[in-house]
Amino acid sequence: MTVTMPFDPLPLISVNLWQRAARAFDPLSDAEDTDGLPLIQQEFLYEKRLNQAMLDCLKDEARLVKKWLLNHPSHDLWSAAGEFVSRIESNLDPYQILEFASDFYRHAERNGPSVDWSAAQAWTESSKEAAEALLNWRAIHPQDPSGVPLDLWFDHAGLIPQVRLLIWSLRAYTEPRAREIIETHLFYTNGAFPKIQS
Amino acid sequence: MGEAPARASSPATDYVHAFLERTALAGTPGIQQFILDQDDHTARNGVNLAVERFTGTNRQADSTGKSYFLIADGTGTGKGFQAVLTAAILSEQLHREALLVTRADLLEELRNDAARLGLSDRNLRFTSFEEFAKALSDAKRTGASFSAVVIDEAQELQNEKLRALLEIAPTRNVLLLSATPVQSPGEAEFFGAKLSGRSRSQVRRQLASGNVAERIAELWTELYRSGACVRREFPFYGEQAKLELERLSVAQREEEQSVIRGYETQMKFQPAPEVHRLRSELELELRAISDLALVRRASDEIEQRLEKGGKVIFYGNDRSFRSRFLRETTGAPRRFAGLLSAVQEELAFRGVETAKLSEPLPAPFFETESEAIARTRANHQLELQNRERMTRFVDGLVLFDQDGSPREVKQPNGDQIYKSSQVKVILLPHSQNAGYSVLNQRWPDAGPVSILSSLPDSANAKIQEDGRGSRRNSRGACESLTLTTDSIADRRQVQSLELQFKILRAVGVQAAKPYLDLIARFEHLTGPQSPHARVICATNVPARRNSSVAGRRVAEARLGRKQ
Repeated sequence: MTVTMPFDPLPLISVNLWQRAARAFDPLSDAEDTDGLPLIQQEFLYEKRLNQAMLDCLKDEARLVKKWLLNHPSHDLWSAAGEFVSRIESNLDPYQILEFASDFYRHAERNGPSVDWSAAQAWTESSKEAAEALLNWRAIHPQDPSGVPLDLWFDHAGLIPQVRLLIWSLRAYTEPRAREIIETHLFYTNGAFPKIQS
Repeated sequence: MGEAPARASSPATDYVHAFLERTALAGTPGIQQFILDQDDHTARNGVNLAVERFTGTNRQADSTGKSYFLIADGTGTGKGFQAVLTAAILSEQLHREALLVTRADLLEELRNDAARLGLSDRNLRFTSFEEFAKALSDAKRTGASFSAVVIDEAQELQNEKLRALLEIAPTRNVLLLSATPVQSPGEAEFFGAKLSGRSRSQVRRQLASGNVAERIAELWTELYRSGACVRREFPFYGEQAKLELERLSVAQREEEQSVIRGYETQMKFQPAPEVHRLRSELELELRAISDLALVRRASDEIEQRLEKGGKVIFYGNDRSFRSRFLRETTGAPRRFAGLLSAVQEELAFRGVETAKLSEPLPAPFFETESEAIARTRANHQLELQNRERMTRFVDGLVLFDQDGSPREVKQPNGDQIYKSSQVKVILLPHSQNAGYSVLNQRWPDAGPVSILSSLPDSANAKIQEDGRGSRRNSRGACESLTLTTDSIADRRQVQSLELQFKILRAVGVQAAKPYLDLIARFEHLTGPQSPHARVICATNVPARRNSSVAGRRVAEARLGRKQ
């Protein structure tokens, strides 16, 4: 049985963008705008900013690996790095990644107890379990390169963990868990439910 | 399983006494009463332990330099007083403002605690969780720092943003207060890391091996021993460990089975997410059947207590539901009223007047401005309605001000006026178990109060209900009775509560003990090997193993890879 080692871009680009973004992330930057909002909404907006930061990190990482590809055409990791870049570039649909899960949840919330509502709940709950399991795994395997994006999770699974899970999965695609997360995401975003009106 | 002991020893220095001497506050009536009424095992000791932790020679801090102390006292043990007095002492010692943060609905109560101790002008700043970020942002702009940040109702720190804000708060001292800080492994890990000064990953690793409740007990025993937290409780004043079991009828069992069969058929060959969705819907439907089975029994129990001249507080959920499989005789899908609504209807049929409070509309993740205004207006109306209904239940003379807020009428000398309540039964959603201080009055002429409840969603709710209830509107001891059925929903609920109570017990919450006894009694009455228990297991198949072939194909196509 062959085991595919997850591709690790960090040694190629020599910078841990995730750690840098975690240090730079400012929880106070929207303090004026969110002042007085219900706590759940503040948490939702905070998470949205965090998810955006994760997506930016993923984009920047792919951009730097692409730059590396141009300069190292005969490197052993050239083809793995190429696959990494094309996978991320071809799947960077910000709506699919950042908004679908939240829109789905909001739509379900607005329409009260319904089929969509229980679907949104079930998807979120199972995602929370997966996110918690990943955090536990990260605590036990702090050196595993696949866990690097989890630095930006700040030890929390999140309200709608689907988004951070998907971003993690796109980066660590060869992980069996990542495949399962992507499959679940695609199930919801490929016509299983009507397109949500945002 | 080991049980963490509450630390009762006193620090060598009496910081409270020294503070009063320095500030000449000793003559203040509120403070005097506080000092006279408290001994080493209660509030004054808690303040001394907290100040010792922050300013003593054995100060322990995390990697950011912050030191944390948790006061995890039970409900009604004076956490509010400890919060404001600790904040005042640190503010005076460190010559900087202290920031006190709590839930918006409890902010006024915390300010009142400060006023009662004569500490209102002691460099204390009060804010709500909703305005916490703004308070920190203002401090950042002016370069200010706080002598301490005091987080009341610290269980709210399960909110990711609040945790992030606390992390960057400009202070070296963080006092946390909560009667039920830990009900899940995630919370045990968060508080464990903060109080021990270790990283979250380290604590996660510690909790990840073996039996989680045992690991949590070990961690918290260590925390109590190190002086990172303290917990004291008032014993329940009355009879608490009572449970009545209503057995489902043959017809109700058949309904349960019919619903399960229906869902199982629908779940077959479905992809994992769909199975997950159907399972959560099945849970709602089983809950509705269970609640419906409790209506008559609950009404009987309430009536019995009224006949003896008592009053009843009944806690339950009030969620209505439309069945997917069960039908009315007309063929339409059967609708279930919520438990409280159904009990109210049943009691009205028997000629018993009740007051039922409603749950406010919860804030959604996102709403437009007009939606927010509509929700706020609707909730304001609900709140007025709730208050009006509450005043019909409590003894005493309450009139309404022009703005609709209730005001207690007193005699010219300030004494309260006793007036027996108009309604003897109040039906409260589990979510409304706190925030009605008017329920806490005691009257020498009042009759006994019984607290009846269905199974709540969380152990915290149960402890709050009984803890607050035991000193509610009663002339003496009161009883607490939990009503359950042997339905599948209640069995599952008991399983979930058992873990929560075990975790609470593991962190030293003595109040959890009677409930674990109740759970043992429930299991004894229902029997562990009934056919229903097997059905629960059958509906509990991990959904994610049933992975989606269709989903995988789409994934492969989208990602341009073949297996």
